[in-house]
Amino acid sequence: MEKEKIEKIVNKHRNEKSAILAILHEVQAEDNQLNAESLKYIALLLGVPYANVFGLATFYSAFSTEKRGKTLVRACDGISCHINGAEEVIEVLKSKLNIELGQTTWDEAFGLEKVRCLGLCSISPNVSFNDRTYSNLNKEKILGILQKVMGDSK
Amino acid sequence: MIQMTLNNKEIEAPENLTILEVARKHGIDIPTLCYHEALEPYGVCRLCIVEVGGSLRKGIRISCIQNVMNGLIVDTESERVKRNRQFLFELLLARSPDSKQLIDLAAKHGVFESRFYEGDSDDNCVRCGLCVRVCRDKIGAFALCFAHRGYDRTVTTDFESLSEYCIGCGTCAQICPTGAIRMKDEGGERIIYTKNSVVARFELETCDICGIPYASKKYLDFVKRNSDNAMAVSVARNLCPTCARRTGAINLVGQMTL
Repeated sequence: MEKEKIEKIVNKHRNEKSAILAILHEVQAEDNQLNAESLKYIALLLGVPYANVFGLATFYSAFSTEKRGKTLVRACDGISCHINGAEEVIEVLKSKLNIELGQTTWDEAFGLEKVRCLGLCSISPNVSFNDRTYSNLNKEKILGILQKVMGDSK
Repeated sequence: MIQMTLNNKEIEAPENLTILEVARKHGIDIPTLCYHEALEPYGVCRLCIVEVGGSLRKGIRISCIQNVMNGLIVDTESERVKRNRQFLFELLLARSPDSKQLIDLAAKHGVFESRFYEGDSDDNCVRCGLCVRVCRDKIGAFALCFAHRGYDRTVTTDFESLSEYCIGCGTCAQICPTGAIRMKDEGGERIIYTKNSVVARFELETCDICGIPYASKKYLDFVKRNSDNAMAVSVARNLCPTCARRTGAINLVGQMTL
């Protein structure tokens, strides 16, 4: 990401070290990635060692050091979702998006990830598209949602 | 001072000490991997477990973190402790079956193989964090960090490449309890490396007297920057430790005969 943009985000948080997670979140949202250059520049501006920033960026699953799709599809495969047929839903996602878990589509529109729990076990299985979560899914439902979301993103 | 019972013996111990420290003072051997006197306790290897009772609720505690207190009853070698410790050794061996130090320590406690063995691995690291902590807290170089999480957690440099912060002191290799992070000096070059990455590679400065390569420039600069004047002068002489000692001794003897 451009240095000016990063500076703007860091300045917004008054160059506060303690705001590092918020800063990383905003850079990730803007750029869909936290690459080495961005992280190094953030570290430099905040006066934190590279190692700390790198540790943070790799620890949290909300961050990615590689380019991630614009829409991140998080398919839950926790216990409840798994029992209620998450595997089927994930298969549909894989074949429709034509990618494996952890990959990004060629046009960088979608990324697919398996997560452990979205905290909605009672209405499982769940899949979230960025901030929007869909519940009580099955093969047919997820197909419809996918078509709608893919249509919107075009 | 407080009164406590250690392995069925009434003892007196100073407050503010951990069970581990008190036990070691009394010559009781408790195995540890992640503990080091110079660093704050971290409590991740779990090998130092002991059974407590009395003033604490009966159960297993890690002795490197638990402080001693009045009326505490500690058993470091009970059946329960032994069983649990052997289990822990099996878990550690599953991940690092190749580390000589770990194999020896496990054998000492009666564990020769692991039920959880999952194939050969040259990953000797047990994630004790000694190297990361010593680099951060004692040296102040911040060259190492833990990256990723859960099973993928690894010790690495920032961005998994040669670290800009590393000064090549070699403390991480020195402190590693399982030989996962190593250092070698070859052909005037120092290389610090782990299983999957090279931490640092440094040209070494040579000693003015014997010509042996002995330390990296960055390290010498670091010492100069962070020590008082007297120390900085001795660093500025460009002598390896052996020659520095020898010249020091010769100077001293010269002064004495005069």
